[in-house]
Order: sequence, then structure tokens, then C-alpha cells
Amino acid sequence: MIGDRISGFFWFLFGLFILKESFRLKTGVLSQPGPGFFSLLGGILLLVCTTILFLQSILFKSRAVDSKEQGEKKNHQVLIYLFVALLAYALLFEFLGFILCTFFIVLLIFGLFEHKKWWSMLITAALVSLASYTIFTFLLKSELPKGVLGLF
Amino acid sequence: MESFQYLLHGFAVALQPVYLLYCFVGVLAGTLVGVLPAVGPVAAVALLLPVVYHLDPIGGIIMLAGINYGAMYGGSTTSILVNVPGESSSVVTCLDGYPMAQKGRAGPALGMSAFGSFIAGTLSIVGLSLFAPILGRLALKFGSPEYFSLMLMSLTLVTYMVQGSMIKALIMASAGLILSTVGMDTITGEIRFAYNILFLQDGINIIPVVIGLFGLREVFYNLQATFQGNVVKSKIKGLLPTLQDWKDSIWPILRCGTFGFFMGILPGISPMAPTLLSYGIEKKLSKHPEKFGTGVIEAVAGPEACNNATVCGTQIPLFSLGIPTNVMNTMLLSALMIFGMTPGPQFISKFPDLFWGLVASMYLGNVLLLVLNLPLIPLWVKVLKIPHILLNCLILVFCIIGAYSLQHQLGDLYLLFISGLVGFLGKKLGYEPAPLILAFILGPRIESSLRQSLIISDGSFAIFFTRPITAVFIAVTLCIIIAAIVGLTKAGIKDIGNAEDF
Repeated sequence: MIGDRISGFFWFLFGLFILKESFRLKTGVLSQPGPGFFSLLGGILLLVCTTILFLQSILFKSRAVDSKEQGEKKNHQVLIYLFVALLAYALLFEFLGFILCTFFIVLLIFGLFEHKKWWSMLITAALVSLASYTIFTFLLKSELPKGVLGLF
Repeated sequence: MESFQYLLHGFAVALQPVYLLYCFVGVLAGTLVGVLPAVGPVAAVALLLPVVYHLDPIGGIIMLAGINYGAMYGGSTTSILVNVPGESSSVVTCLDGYPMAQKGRAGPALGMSAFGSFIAGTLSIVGLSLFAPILGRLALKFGSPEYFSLMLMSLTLVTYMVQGSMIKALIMASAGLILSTVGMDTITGEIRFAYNILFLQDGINIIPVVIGLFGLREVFYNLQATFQGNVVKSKIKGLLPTLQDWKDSIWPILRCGTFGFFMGILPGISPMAPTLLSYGIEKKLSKHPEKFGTGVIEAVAGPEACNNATVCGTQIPLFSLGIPTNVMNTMLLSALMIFGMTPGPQFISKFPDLFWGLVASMYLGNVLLLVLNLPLIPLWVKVLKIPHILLNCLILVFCIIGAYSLQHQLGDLYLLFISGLVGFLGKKLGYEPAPLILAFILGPRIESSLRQSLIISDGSFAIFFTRPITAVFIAVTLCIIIAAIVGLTKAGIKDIGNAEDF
């Protein structure tokens, strides 16, 4: 399966990197293992496993048919938007604050995945962000950043 | 008899109104989470850790444990009514529970699974209070080599029991071991893999990773694949099973409960595997195996009893050895560590209030669940009708709050989002996150016990074969590995065909 090969290749590179770094950290000797000793073992295990995975995917020819429909592909693209939006969320989290960030992300999810009337989306997003902020800060005493809203 | 006195003391602790309230909130939240197909119990506990942080240790642990077994109850409701397992160990309940609901017997199915869980849960709590202290005393003799081999065995078992490819599970486990080395080396004090990033110098925080791998992953997954499930329309009535239902179910409940409990004690067993096995056993023992799958009550009662008993059994290695054997228990361990307590052989004698209070609260929790679950079923049905986009937004928000509010570090948010993406891709490609989490939690202790053992033995691996207890653990580990290699080729083919299903 193509997915196995790509993911296996990724893990293989990761294993090589770990090996290199472990030697840099000094692996020590068996009677006095150093800081890099354990990650070296982990890296070796990773390389062995990915090699087996790779061989498996070549030896046992894939019988699974790629039966992905168009609709699913489109959704995958939307997921990438969502992930980028989440990274932006983390970037702006402390500046804009929890309430505003959450408001926008909920709005975005509704916009991406469900097409409703704009006012109902606005109300839902506002409700979700305000309610969760209230519950978690006042009832459960979590500290969430206020951001720009804290200036008022 | 000593245990009995302690247990009475535990009831005195757990019956205090505050703790009773925490227990109630825990089982209620757990049931809610179990009912919702989107979040599993592990994600729920991870999400609620920051809440518990502000409570006192006993209250916090009681609540988390309540979520755990509450979710086991709740999962059955979704399985029976929607034919979607609310959490992984309720998969089997779908097989006969949903057909029963279609035949208009949703009531007895729900009722019987609640009674079954109650009976088995109660029995295994008795087992827990008997076995945990014994094992704890035994474990006092353990040194580094014993701990190393025991943890190695648990980890191997977990990777072996994972659904799908063992190779992929091993890859996840080694990734977990490697990730666990980030931060300071406990023996030499050297900083590893931090690359001058302050956030990495303290090591990677497990909570955002768990929330990402188990919670956020589901949000991604649910958003790209539209959730399909039809709540059974007919009115649910007559929750109480008939006398004939009891006759059919009582032995399966007792058998599967006992079986599940003892399977739970084995290191590395998650509730899923014994539940599947118990369904198979009941089918073999049944006088009419051909009816299994068409809606027979014992096929609902047995596995439901089994999964509750297993949850209870898995607490034994956690509290007596300090070794979590599944992902749920790694969460309980993390919670205990937040409170500054590390489970181990002396745990029960050092914190008797907490341990026996917890055991007693589990008993009370089971009673609460029985009382709660039956009248609240109409409410849970309503919960299942929440629009799923809104539900996923709520889960996303909980994930963010859960990951952030423990340490108030922005890095945790990035960690959460990346873990979520990795978890989602893993789910698509057939990589199970459980071995990663377990390896991550056990990693530092496996590492230090291995290095200490090697220092003791002056670099000779013979130390793991000459000490009797260690030798047994290592032998079992080797057997599992051989079994895996022999079965590997077969599983390999099967896995390639099935990987898309995950």
C-alpha cells in the first residue's frame, strides 16, 4: 500500500536522524550507558520495523482497491484549511485572547463544513466561545488569556 | 480480613458528601462521554485533568475513575441505540444490542447491560481489594531488573494486542520511547533533543499529546467523514429485564465478569480484547450459537459485564506496581503524578485514604450508575441528536482548554494540533496511538531501570536471565515476540487488506 511506504519512509528518516543524534549525545558503553544509549536502541528498533514494513508492502501486493470518492477528497482539502487555521489560532491565541480566537475558529468550521444562514453561525460561534469561557474560568477556575478584550 | 477493615475505612472516606458529589459528577460526565461516539474515555479524562487539578487528590482521583467506568456504561447505550460503539470496548455490544433494539427490545438490552455491568463491577471491586495489597507486598522484592523486564513485557503485550499491524504498533512504541527521552537525562543530567527550545527542555508534556491523539483526531476524522447513525426511533419502554432474560444472562455475566477481571490483571490488556474474547466464549458455550448476532440478550450482558470487570482488574497493576497497563491508566498515573504521588509497591500503605477511598467510591459509583443510567436513558437519546458539527466544535474547544490550562504554555497548543494531525493520519493509515502513549509514559522508567541494571551487572545482559522473576518476564516477552513473528506473515496480508477500515 502506498500509504505504508510513504509513512514507512518518513519513520525511516526519523530513525536515521535519531541514530545520528544519539551518537552525538554519546551512547556510552554497556557497563556505563550514556545519555544517548536509550534513544539509540529506540532508533535501531524503528529502522528494523520500518524495513520490515517496507518489505511487507512490496512482497504482499496490495489488494485493497483505492475506492476514494470525489467527495472525500474535497473534504481532505478542507481539513488542510482547518489545520492551517488551527496553527493561526495558536499564533494569535495570546494576542487576541481565547474568546475571539474561539469565536473565529467555530465560525470557520461552520463555514467550511456546514452552510447555514450567516446570522445563525454568528450566534452559535458567539455562544460557544462565551459559554465555554465562562464555564471554565468562573466555575472551573482555568486561566485562559483575555487578549485584546482584556484592555476594556 | 485486614483488607475488609480498610475497605470499611474507605467507605467512611468515600461517603463524605464532597467525595460523593465528585463521584457523582465523574460517573455522570463519564456516561455522557461514553454515550457520545466522538470522544472516548481516554480523551475525556485527558480533557478533564485540568479541572481535577484544582481539587484535592482524593476527590480528583475519585472523579477521574468515575469518568472511566462511567464511560464503559455509557458506551453500551450508543451501541444499542445507534449501532455505533460509543467507545472501543462496546464494539461487541453492537452485534446483538442493535438487533434487539430493532426488534423493540432496546429497553431490556439497556437494562440488562446496566445490571450486568453492575454485578461484574461489584464482584471485581471485591477482587481488587483482595489482590492489590497482596501484589503490592510481593512487588517490594522487585529491583531494577525486575521492573525493566516487567515493563518490557507490558509494552510488548500492548503492541501485540493492538488491532491491525504489529509492526506499525512497534513503530509507534519506538517513537514513544524516543519522544520520552526528550528533556533532561535523569542519570547524567544532560539535556537531550531540546535544541535550545525552552519548551522542550522540561520534556514533552503528555497531556496535550494524549488529547491530540485521542480527542482532536476524532474531530478531524468526524469532520471529513459524515457521521452516520440512526437513533432507534421507537419509544424505549420496559427497561427491566424479564425473568427469562435473567435466566439467560446471569451465568454469562458471572463467567465473563470473572474472565474480564483476571484478563485485566495481566499487564498490557485493554478492555477491548477480553470483551471480544468473551463474546467468542459465550458463543461457543451457548446452546444456540447460530442466534448470536440476531439479538440475544446474553450476548449483550456478557461482554458488557466483561468490560467493566476488566477496567477494574487493570487498576491492580497500576496501584500495586505503579505500572499502567493501558492508556486509560496512564492518564490516572499522570493525574497521580500531578498530585505528587507516584504509585508503586508502597502506594497502598502510604496513601490508604486515597486507595481505599477510591475502591469504596467505585462501589458507590456502580450503585449510582445503576440508579442513574436507567432513568436517564431518554436524556442520552437527546444528547445523541445534537448536530454533529456543533458537537465537534465543542470537543475542539474542550481539547484546546484541556491542553492549555495545565501549564499555560503556547507550545502545548502547537503540540496538541500536531498530535491531532498525526493521530488523524495514523488512524487513516492504521497506526494505533495506544503503544506510543504507553511507551512514552513507561519510557523514562524503562530507560533508568535498564541503565541501572546494566550498571549493577557491569554491562552484562545475563542479569535479566539469572534472576528468577526477571527470567519469567523475559521468557513471556520472548514467547509473545515469537508468536508475533509466526503470525506476522498471515497478519501482514490481512492487514494490507484492512488498513483502509481504520
